[in-house]
Amino acid sequence: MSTADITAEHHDDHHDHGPAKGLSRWFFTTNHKDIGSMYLWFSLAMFLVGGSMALVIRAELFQPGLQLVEPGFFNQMTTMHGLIMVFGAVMPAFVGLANWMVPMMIGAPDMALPRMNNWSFWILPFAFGMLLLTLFMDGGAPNFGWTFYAPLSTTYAPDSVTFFIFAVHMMGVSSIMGAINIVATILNMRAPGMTLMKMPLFVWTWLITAYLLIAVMPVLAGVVTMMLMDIHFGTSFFDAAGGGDPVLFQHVFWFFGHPEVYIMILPAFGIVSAIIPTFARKQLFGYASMVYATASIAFLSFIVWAHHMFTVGMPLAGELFFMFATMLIAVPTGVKVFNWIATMWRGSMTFETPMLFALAFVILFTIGGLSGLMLAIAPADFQYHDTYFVVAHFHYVLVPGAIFSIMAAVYYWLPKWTGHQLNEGAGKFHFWMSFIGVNITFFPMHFIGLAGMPRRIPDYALQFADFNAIASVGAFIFGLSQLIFVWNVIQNIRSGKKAEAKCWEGAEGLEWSVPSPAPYHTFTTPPQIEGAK
Amino acid sequence: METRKNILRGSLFGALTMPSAAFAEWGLNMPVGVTEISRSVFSLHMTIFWVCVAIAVVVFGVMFYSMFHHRKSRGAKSAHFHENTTVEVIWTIIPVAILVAMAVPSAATLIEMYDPSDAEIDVQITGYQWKWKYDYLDEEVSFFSNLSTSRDAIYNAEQKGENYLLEVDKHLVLPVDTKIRFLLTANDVIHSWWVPDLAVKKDAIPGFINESWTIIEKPGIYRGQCTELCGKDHGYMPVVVEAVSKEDYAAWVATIKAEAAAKADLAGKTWTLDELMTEGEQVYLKACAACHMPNGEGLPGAFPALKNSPIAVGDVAAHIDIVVNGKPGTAMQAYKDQLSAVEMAAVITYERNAWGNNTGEAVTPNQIADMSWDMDRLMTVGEEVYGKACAACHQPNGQGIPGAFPGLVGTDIVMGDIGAHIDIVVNGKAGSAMQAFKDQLSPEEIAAVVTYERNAWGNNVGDSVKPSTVASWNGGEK
Amino acid sequence: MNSFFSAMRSTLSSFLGVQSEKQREEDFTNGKPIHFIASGLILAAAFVVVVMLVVEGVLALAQK
Repeated sequence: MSTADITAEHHDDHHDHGPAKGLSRWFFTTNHKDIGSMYLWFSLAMFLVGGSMALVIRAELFQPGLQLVEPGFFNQMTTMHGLIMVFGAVMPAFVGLANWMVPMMIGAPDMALPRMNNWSFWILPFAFGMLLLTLFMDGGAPNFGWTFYAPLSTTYAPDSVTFFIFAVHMMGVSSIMGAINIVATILNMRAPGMTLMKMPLFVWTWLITAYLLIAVMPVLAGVVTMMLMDIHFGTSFFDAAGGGDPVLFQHVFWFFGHPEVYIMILPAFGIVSAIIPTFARKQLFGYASMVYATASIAFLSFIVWAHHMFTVGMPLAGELFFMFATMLIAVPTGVKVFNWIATMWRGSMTFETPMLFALAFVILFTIGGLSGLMLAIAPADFQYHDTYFVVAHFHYVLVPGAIFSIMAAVYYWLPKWTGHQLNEGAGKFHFWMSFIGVNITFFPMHFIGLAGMPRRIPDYALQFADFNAIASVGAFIFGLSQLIFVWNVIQNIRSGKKAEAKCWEGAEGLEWSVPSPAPYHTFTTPPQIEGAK
Repeated sequence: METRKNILRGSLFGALTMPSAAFAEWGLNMPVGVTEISRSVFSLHMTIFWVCVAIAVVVFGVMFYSMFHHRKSRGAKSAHFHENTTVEVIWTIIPVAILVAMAVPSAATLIEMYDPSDAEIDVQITGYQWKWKYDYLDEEVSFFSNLSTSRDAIYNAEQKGENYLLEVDKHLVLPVDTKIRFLLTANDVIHSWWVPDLAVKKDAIPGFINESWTIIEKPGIYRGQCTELCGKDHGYMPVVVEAVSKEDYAAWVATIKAEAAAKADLAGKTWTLDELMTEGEQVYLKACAACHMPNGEGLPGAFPALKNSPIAVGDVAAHIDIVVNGKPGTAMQAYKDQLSAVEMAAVITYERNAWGNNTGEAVTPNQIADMSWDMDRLMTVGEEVYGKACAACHQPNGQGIPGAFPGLVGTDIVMGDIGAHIDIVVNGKAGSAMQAFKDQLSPEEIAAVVTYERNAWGNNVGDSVKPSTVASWNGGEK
Repeated sequence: MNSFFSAMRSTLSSFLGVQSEKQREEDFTNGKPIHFIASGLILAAAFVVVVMLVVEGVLALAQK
């Protein structure tokens, strides 16, 4: 008798069975909440690993000269930090949140493809295990930057590049399956009456993100496969000596890479659009605009990729095209900030931890967006490109952007997951330490970038010393303050005051109609939808 | 007046980005630079910056006002509006208008940057792991520019100098007020050549050539760095441009040419093992130690050790070959473009005798020079030389002119003892039209033409002559 | 056909990032997905063409 049969039979016997016992619960689970939790824990683990690498980088950069690590290892750290944070921390965290929240928000009993869901998750530990183990190989881990430009990542790469390629393939498979699952769930599993136009914005942004993932992850897989062919099978896609072109790599990579930027920020828009109305006790301003803008931003994000490549020597017409297109497309993204502010305007605000993170997101993401606007000016980009100014820009978008939104989401929905009220004191302490740490770390990077410090260097000229020291101090404040977060979450799981079903006064949406903690199975009978949004 | 304005701005927005000199020393902002382009870039940068500041002030102003006044603890009751299409359209159109306004000067500057026409001087810049090579195409001047900061300074064993990591052994010297075109390419991976004061940053891509240009207006030393991750020592390949007056530039070109000539003469000198070892250590530290490490132990898995390695203690020819020609598909570069024969001889000698390798072998510059003369090159050059110096009498097909000039196809001289062949070309044949070519051709050319004659037109003897053999022939021994 | 032009109008305004609640109701009650996909592709292509024409124009101006 096969496993499937047993499960089916078992299922018939006890309709409301709880989780399995022991480890098998986690290995074999098809429950969206279990899988969501695993994604989130995995992402937290990767966040701490990638963060430790960032601290190695910042420790080395605390002073000019080489103190702690050699340049070769430094490059491995910058590369692995980037890869792990992008593919291991931010993306799985969003998938985890989608797993937990999307079915609950649309009144579905589970994800549409629960077995595939299990598989999407369980690929990840192996992919990242393999990637991390390359650190112990002869020649070391990948050392060519998270953007892995050829030929540094092909002809001149360490042997571990092959493992890196397979790890990327595995992550891609996981992401595509996750995305298909989310699309299938949202399109097919909505409770009766939960029309598309009533879906919360988080669901909308994830639906669009999922399409982006399906569109671009194969491009990433393609580009690493081309690398694999160049390295092992004698092709010359990226080798000029064989008729190839190293710049082709960058075009293909950024065709993936630019939509990837939106993959990492659109779900954050959704989260913030859920949190701000809750704590402003006022409906989201311009919901329709948000939905439409998100869709078109995603669509148009495919035609601006080469603004990452202004210095590769594109023809003038190409430079102008990508400059104009980038500037125009930046606007609809930017003005979404106005919608959040209009939501706050004449609201009745309180400032609990999730709201603090969401507000910090709005402010700091805007700063990152504005420096992005500066980067769009191609002639000025010649001076900014590949300096710490760029590092400051994308860290402002990703750390207080994507990461803060994830923190906000965790604090916002944690009572729903664990059934315990938040420890506001610890949450606020974590917030203020993170907020201060993030700004001390990344704000000075604008200055050292403008003053001329290139990125990805292990050592620097003396005029950059003061700001680097400050940034390193900030990094340690930020890094260590995450331990408060870990402590706070674990504390919340183990104890705390009982949380009500709707634990935030202004919260709206189906997820708040189920008890806290949410039962193992929710909405086995579809809920009744009123004008929910 | 300007100062007062700056103080005012400073007090308003903090010390963010002041264009004034006082703040420039802090290294807070982009340099204004010393070219017309760099000034327009700077002004674009400042304009877009202030636009961003203005947007931020408005947006955050409204946000903080709302956060302060519309809080529940102050008794705020939430309103019910959640849409106003008109307002949304307005606040979208305004940024679009600002950006369109920004696009105009940006496009103008970009178009100017893309016009390298009418350049007076062409400099080819080639990125290597991890140094820059500069070729002055009009002057036949060419040199490498290496980081000159000492390892001790990097490893904190000595005081770091003022230009720590931004100093090189040879500056890229350029005249002021002259349009200079840069042609950028790379030998191995992608590099990027950047000098902030010139507002020139362009990727150097292997197999492709990029263009950029500058007109420097003020003499001075301008420092920059490689800005595209190019491997282990990416942080250690600075760019130093020295702008001088046109007269000084002409003088500098003359000096550097004289230096190059003097260096070429060194090759003829007889070198002792000790001399080679001393020179070799210097070269090793400059050119090899970054990968193979000063102790010759390499970095396991990335860069092989030389200590007791099969190459360094094995066949000398293989060792010379890998240094001269590199190893394709690896980070091992062909040093024939980077080091002189003397330097290569010295460094190979050093590698074969340092760290307990102790082979006792010395490699002479002549051996190196020979290496670059493989059969193909000898034949190619030989054919050229033959056409120039020999074909008039012996005819292009080697048949000669019967009765006047002997043929070379299948004859004793070219098919027989190679010594006799070399001798007749070097010293001529007294009493005949055959001249002594030692005064007309270089040893390399003679070696090439002799090899050519022995292998062309079906002669196929299969042997070849190295320039060093010819060079010593000139002494008249043998 | 009407629904197609309405989809075009919606897509166009989505490029600007603004949409009214009323139009949204209309789109989600009467709109057909295929119309939105088609108008998205058409207008994205149009956007590319327009920007390219602008670039051509700018380059033509620069030649003078």
